This record gives sequence, structure tokens and C-alpha cells, in this order.
Amino acid sequence: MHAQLTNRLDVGDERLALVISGAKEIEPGSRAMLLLAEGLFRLDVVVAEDTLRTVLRNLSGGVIETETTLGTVTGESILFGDAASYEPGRAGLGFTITTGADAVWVRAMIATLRFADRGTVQVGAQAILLQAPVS
Amino acid sequence: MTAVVDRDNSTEVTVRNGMDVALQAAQDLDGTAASISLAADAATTIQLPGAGLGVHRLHLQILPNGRESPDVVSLLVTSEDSAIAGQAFVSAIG
Repeated sequence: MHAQLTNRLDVGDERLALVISGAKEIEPGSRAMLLLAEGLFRLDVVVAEDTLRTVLRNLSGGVIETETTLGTVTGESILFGDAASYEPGRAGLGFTITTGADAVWVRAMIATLRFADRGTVQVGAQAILLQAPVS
Repeated sequence: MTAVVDRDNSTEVTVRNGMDVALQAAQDLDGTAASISLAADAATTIQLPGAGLGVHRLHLQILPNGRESPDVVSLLVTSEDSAIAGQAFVSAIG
């Protein structure tokens, strides 16, 4: 079963706005579904040594255009407790899903903690989905 | 947010809402989902089970409330024995 939290956000108009967050603790080399937005996309992750690979699957029937500039991903990723001793890592991902005249912006932050004693890596993420204004 | 290990090795996570408005949050504690409210200018305590029972995970998604609190926050806390590690994500919407 995939565990994530999904909630609608109020942006003051009728546009679609969602927050999705989730985490998976996985063994290096294995692939896991991290976030799922039904009918839009699925984000998988693979951890291999010191590399985090993301696999974005398009479930929309439209076109996904990824952004290569990480500066477009805004927000903060914060550590607390003993997290600093678990080799924390951080990445960002931004893309737009376009279906006909509709577009949805997606901004995701991903962070990792390496639990060496368990031989696993925890990958957590939060994504904001926001429907673009109709032009 | 603070997290401490009690004498019985259970972990107590305290989330302090410093805003003047209450905040709604979705919670997933070891796979059990719930909705909670974080009272304005007050602390809310969430108890994680004691040690000896493996790894415990708390996932909290705190939703915005108007201009007073425009950010959405996700907290991920993992505890095992006396070790506690957490990640938080903060995003502004709009």
C-alpha cells in the first residue's frame, strides 16, 4: 500500500491546488513510488550510492515539460533531531503538465536521510500542484 | 517542533503553532491516518510508541490558513530507540 498525504489547498479561486507529501524508506538500488497524483503523474525514486534518480511517469495523456533550473523550485527543506548525522541530501524538481488548454504547475522538493545501520535510505518529498490561470 | 524520548523510551513530538490562527493538519502515524487541529498559539503533543517495537514514523501535513499562515508544511519524523531524525518541507502556495 502506498502511504502519502494529499490535501486540497485554497488559493482563493476555483483553480486546482493540491499538496502531496510522502516518504519511503528503501534499500539502495531499489525503486519506489514516492508520490502519486491520480490522472496526472507518478514520481518514482531510485537511490544508487550517492545518486538520487527520479523517474517521472506521465498519467495525464498530455505533455510534461520539465524545468532544468532548480532555482524555479521554491521552498525550504529543514532538518531536525539527529538528521544531520544521516548524510542528508536535497533535490528539487519542477515541471508543467499541459493537456489541451489546461496546464498544471508542479513543484517538488525531495530530501534524503541515509540510515547506515539499517542499510536503507529514507526519501521524503512534498509537491505543490497548481493549475495555471486560464489565459 | 521538538521531539524527546521519555523514560519508557516512547517518543513525544511537540508541535508548537505560533500563529494567531488554528491550523488543520493531516497525520499519518505508523500507517494510521487522522486529522488534527493545531490550536492557535499553543503546543500540540503527539505520542509515538515506545522502543523495542521497531521503527516509528510520523508524517504530518500542516495546511495553510489565510494570509496569517500562507505556507504548507510537511513534517517527517522517524524514531528508533533513542534516535530521532526529522525532515520538514515548507512551501508557499500561489
